[in-house]
Amino acid sequence: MKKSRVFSTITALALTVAAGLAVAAPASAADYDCASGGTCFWISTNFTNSSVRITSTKADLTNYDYASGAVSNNTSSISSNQSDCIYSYQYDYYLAPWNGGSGSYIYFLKGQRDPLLSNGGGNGAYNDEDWDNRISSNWFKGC
Amino acid sequence: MQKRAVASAIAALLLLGACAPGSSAEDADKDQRSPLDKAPAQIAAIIDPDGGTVAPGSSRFIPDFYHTFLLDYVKRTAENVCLEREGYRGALDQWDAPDPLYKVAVTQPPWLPEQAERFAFLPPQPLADLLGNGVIVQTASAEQATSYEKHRAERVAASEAFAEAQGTAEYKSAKAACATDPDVKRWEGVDLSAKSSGPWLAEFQDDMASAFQDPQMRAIKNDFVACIEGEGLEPASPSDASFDGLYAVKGQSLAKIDEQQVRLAVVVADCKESTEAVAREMAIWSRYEAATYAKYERELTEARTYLEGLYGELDDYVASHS
Repeated sequence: MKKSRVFSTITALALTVAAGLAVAAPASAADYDCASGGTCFWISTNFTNSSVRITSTKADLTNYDYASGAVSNNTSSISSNQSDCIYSYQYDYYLAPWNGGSGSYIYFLKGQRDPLLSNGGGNGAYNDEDWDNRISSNWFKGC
Repeated sequence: MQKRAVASAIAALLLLGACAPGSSAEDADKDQRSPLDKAPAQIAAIIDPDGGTVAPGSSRFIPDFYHTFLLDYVKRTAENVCLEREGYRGALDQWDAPDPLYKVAVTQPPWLPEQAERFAFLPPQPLADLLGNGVIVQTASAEQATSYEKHRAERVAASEAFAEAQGTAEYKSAKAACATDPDVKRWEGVDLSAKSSGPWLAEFQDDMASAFQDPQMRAIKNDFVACIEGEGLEPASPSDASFDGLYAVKGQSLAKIDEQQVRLAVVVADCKESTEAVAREMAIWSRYEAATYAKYERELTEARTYLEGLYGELDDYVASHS
């Protein structure tokens, strides 16, 4: 994917090695880990500080509170690990239009993640825009 | 069907108005035509009551979800075919082909009464997606609910089995061999969005915002509100309204599809029909988008041509592998 800033496991490992850092031990210990079956949203970049894991619809992400505030318009990194749906879509509107129509969105397939939404995020036509603190709703597709 | 007739007629009028023969003065100076009149087939809103789609014209230049899904499905299929050819017999990451319902795009659902009866205020989508997002679908039968639970359990088990299989030497060997497979390489290199991104995306968003602030939208809303109030409903308060607030009614929900929600949604769809709200709204929206289209005509034509070419290739691939 030309514009993808999604970090696959391989890419993440490659970057870690390139930076001369020790390769993280088990995948389960990685910062970006998101328990199977959901999509995780972090309040800060690089999967740090407060996070929430979403497993079913909350069109209004303000229903999910980080320890220090609401998720809506307050997310800086994402890791997608849903097991029963192929896609996790994020929109910048509260009531997301689906399957086309209007509104901006990004999406992640299972296993994809992005540590820095400010320089673009996920997949799709809008993925090279600044998505830091912009996501307002989430919807799973291909379930 | 009355709605369909009205919507089709208005859509046709939009196009006919743009294509009608003009006076000799108009012929002499075609640049006097509005941007929408110059390119209705390229930028006018998509209003297709038979297919169930209503969407702004700008959606033509952005990958639709059906083909986004189809491309990923084809990538997966091509790789699975190769893995098996290389002798791999373990678990695969197998997907079902995308549901045809994904071809239906509805801005501000519900639109058609039959969509309202089936999906209430949610856009058309497979039952599995509704349930997978936690929507309470009281209109689904017990059989459908059981079938979904079985499907979901199979999905989760398959996902876990594939995750485990990826660590085996057999998988890694076959995967490495498939990296040079022509079919795998061909599809892995495809990016549906390659021509879609550009400054026009933000400008189309601005067009949408401007369209919904247009004074003519207020007239549409007034007509719509008068209609729903005549049916005993109330408009939603601004804080509860959707992104534009045009058609939101008190009590509507995205969390469930039940008799009450269907009843509200059918009134909304009927009122949209009787006030011709959707055709009027989309005509305004199209006028704003047409100016952006004119500004980026070359790039957007390229994006559309690129997408149509890929859509055709994807459809052909699936037809030849099914």
